[in-house]
Amino acid sequence: MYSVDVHLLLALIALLSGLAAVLTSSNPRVRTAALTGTLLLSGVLVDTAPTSSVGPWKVDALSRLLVSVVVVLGCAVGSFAVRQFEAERRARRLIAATLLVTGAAMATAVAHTLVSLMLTWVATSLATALLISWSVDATHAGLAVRARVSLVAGDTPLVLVVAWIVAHQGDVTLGASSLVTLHPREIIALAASGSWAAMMRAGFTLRRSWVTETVEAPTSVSALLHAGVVNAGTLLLVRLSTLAPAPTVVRIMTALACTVVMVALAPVIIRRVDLKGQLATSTVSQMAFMLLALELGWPALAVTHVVGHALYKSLRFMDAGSAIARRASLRRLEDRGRLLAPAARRLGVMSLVVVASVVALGAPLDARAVAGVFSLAAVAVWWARTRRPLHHATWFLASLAATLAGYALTVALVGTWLTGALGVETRSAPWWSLGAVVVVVAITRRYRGRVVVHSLLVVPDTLEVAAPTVVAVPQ
Amino acid sequence: MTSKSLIERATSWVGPLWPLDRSVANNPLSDEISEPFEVVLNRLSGRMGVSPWPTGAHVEELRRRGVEVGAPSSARSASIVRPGTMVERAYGVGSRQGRTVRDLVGRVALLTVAMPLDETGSRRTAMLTALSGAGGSLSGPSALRRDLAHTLSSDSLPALLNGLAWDEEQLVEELARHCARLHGWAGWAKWNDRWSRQPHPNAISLEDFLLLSLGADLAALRGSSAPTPPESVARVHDSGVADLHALESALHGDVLGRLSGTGRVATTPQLQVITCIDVRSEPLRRALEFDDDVETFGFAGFFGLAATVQREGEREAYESLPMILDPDATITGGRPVSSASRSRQLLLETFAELTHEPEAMYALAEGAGWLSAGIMTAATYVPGLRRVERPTLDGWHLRVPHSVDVAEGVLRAMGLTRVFAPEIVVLGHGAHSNANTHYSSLDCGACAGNAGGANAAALATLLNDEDTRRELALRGIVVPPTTRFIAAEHDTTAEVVDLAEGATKELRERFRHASIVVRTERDAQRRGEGLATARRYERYSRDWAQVRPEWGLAGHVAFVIGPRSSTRGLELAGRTFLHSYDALDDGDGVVLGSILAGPVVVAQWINAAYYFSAVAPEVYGAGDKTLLNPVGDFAVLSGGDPDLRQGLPRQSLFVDERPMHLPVRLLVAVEAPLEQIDVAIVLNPTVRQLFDGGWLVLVARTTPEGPWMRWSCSRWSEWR
Repeated sequence: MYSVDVHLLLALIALLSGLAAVLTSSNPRVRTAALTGTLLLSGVLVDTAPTSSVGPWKVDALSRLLVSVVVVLGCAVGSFAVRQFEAERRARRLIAATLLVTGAAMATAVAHTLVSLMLTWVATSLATALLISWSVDATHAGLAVRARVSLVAGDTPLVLVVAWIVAHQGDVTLGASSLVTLHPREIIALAASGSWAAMMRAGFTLRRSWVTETVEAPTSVSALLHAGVVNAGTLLLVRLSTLAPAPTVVRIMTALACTVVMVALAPVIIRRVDLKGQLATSTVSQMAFMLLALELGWPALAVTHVVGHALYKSLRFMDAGSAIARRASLRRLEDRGRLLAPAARRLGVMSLVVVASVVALGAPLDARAVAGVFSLAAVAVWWARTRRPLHHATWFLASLAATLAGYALTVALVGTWLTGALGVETRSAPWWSLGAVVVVVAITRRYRGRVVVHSLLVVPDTLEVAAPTVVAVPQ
Repeated sequence: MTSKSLIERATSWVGPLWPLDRSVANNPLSDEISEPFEVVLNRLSGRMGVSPWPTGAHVEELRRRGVEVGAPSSARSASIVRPGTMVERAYGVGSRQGRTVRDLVGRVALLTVAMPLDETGSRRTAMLTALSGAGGSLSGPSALRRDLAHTLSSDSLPALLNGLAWDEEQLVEELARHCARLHGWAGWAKWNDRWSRQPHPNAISLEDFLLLSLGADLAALRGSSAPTPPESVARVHDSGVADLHALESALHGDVLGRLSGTGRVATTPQLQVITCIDVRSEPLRRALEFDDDVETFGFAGFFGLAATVQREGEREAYESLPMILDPDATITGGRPVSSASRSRQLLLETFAELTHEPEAMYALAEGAGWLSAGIMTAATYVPGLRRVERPTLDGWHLRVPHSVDVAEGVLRAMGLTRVFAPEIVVLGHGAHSNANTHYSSLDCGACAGNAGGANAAALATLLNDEDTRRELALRGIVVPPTTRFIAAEHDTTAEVVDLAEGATKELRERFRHASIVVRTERDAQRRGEGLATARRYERYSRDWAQVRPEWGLAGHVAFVIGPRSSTRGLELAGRTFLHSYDALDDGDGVVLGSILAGPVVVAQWINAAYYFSAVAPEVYGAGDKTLLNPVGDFAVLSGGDPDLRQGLPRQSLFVDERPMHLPVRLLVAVEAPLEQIDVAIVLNPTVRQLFDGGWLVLVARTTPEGPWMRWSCSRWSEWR
């Protein structure tokens, strides 16, 4: 029943032999080489597989994009871990678990039936639980328990619903061409359990969740989990939606949950003064934004978010140790304003070029809409900040514009590339969703501002204060 | 008794926590040295609930290294529990209530120090703001937070203490227990109260911290039970001291045995090198001295210039002197940080700014995130691409009222008054590491956790100055006109030496060869079994995944004061501080006194910092490096625990469970007439306390051939 494409079979063999090499060798060089080699090889094998479904697996544009990202992450984080745990006994298990998580995430990306998707999803959860249990010592065992509980609670409904559907209809192939027609109740149950699993995986919370508690785990584990695991909900929901569009009621409920989380976490992020805590809390908020985009019908945006956030967040975690040196040297610099202006001009010109390119390329609606919203917001921020010296504002606005332009371009390219793989025809953005995002962001901003107005923002020039006090770099 | 003196008594055993960007290895018990080492440690053991003694693992490690040592003591005291604060006494130290209150105090402190200081310097407004905000980032029941806020807004610390109506001893005991509960925060507050010369933006005072801590306990007990007064903590008598003695007798004996060889005598020197006394200078000195025409000197790496350094293009000066001194000079100049590096920093800062904005934070991940793929792949696989800023060793100037006095004092203290080689290198040292929260702990300890290049360069400029030399000649120190002083900096991570611009090609070659010798030796020695011995040392300084860029001062055992001729050519394995000293030039013992009161005290701090991080890593160490979580630019947490962490990370002292630093008290070995040493000790009460109280082990010999005599309770007896 389960025939497998030869590329995928070879990729699996490559991963398993990599795992064996990591488990048997204690030499860091061999471990790095085995890890990098097998991940790259299996990535290339998957990416070059033909776009046709064989058995429960299929490689499409979205699979290729996500597998490539997982390979980049797995290689960087894995090799980082090899050196961080050099000569330590826990290294073997940790690196093996890293490979397991990476492999499971890759498998999720090529799953093409309900059963294979559910199984790979659960496998990723199991590998994650394993990675956490193996990485923390007895004093931090609470994290491992919390992660297990959250993941089991998140995945159980999905497993039950899929089992129910399979029991009645057999395994269902995903994709718009699927011949199976699901009952409306099944569609609701599937969409709801999928959203629930995605939200639990993303650590949705108003205070603490397993995701925010990952500060208890070593740097490389956080880097991998925040990059390659917590955001997998997007893939799950995109794949499920190709079977049948998610019912409006589920989409609205999920969007509401996302909004609540974004608003509630805004003040928490800025109030956390430990760097890893900030990074971890902001991940949850970012995941809420990602799922919100998906539920409002912007899958290209959500996928862009998965990739961009994954890469960015793992970089930030692995670089966390530099924070003390960097902030101290920044604090010592004199007259930062004078140095800002030329850089701001350069960035301003750059952003103009990028914006022009986006327009010239004929960006799809998603990208133009997002660019529009964020540019309006940028102008608002600029007005709000006119109290500060002009060069600061210029610099601030220019970098904001440049980032947003880069953002719009990226979303546009991703959207174009993934046409057909996202089920766009079934999930176009409703006209009101643009307004919804503006409202959410505005509320988030107001709420955040109201809460901390006594403390951090009361200082007129945060640029001057950012370095000497601990107000620092969340993302 | 005022609350101030109560606080002082309650915190005398608390180790100050230096900001990590200028970390100073310090003796956490430096206020307790008036009592003997063993007494203080036994008391500490009861206070903190740790055993502050070496363990069988340390003894085992020494045996593995082939040194004979007695069997580890088997009888160890059962696990000790930290005595609880009032809420912990009511519910139990590990109870949920106890943990909730501890967590709340730590988290409020974290939020508090991130806010601007009050005009009065108090933190009460900030604490109230922290408590009044949305509860998302604070744990614990809201009633507790409300009660605590009420206490903080209405009461002061003296009022709270008065309200308890306990006697003085009980109050001191209670306050001490609060410090033990969040030792890192108490240490940070103590540093701010006692050691900070300028107010730190993230400061909190001991009074504010204790108000918060005590207030939280009282709030937690409100309505349930009246606080019970604490009993004073019993001393724990731990047999671990036997292991310490076993280790010391073996290790000290080993070093003294090595010192009994005869050194080689230098011929007329063509090159003199003045290095820091740091243990990492010893292998380099030995390597340089393979050439007979090279002579080296050891001197504290700030080179006698108690200066603040103001670098070109920076708005904030840093102190580059031992922390036990006050700055009396300024060093200015250097090359400003390159504009590329500034732009990079500014870009990051703008990023930081943007990520506070909800409109931007979501877009940033996508917009900039994709670029991260290249950055992190390069950083992981090709760390060599990262540029390491080389030290600036030209253009530094010393500004001090009587510069000739300084020059004379430095030269006399070094014993560099008669023979001058044509080239004299002043060699500071510094380390380079990437993504390392404890980077400054690898820099020069005599320069307050900074690299010593600026001090070396300023001294070279001063001693090359013709006016200075003319004045020096009038005072009997004739520096030949052909002699040139050249500044240099030893990069202890990559094991390379950077020299100032004027250095000749030949001189550079000498240092290059010496560096190769040192690297080869370090490959063989310093890394534990199973670790990759490095061929590309530079990779250690650039690799962001590297948790052991170098071993710093781990492994140090002794501090030798004497002429280099007695130790020249001896294989000391990078375990000794070496201070040059010639008793013949120091009839009145003044120079020796200043060495004992300065460099030896600093070395004792380093020794104690390593000792406590090695024996009680859970309290005096920063913990697993992969869990460290930076707070601002001054401290780290371990994972999500809200207490700041003191001391060195586990990876700086251990490879897995194997200890790489053996905790022993520093052995001070002096070569001088015993009477001269007696005079020097009597003149310095602090030094006397350290020696008499057993905080340091002092041995001496009059001549290189003579037997080692041990100082014990103000009397000399033969070593062993």
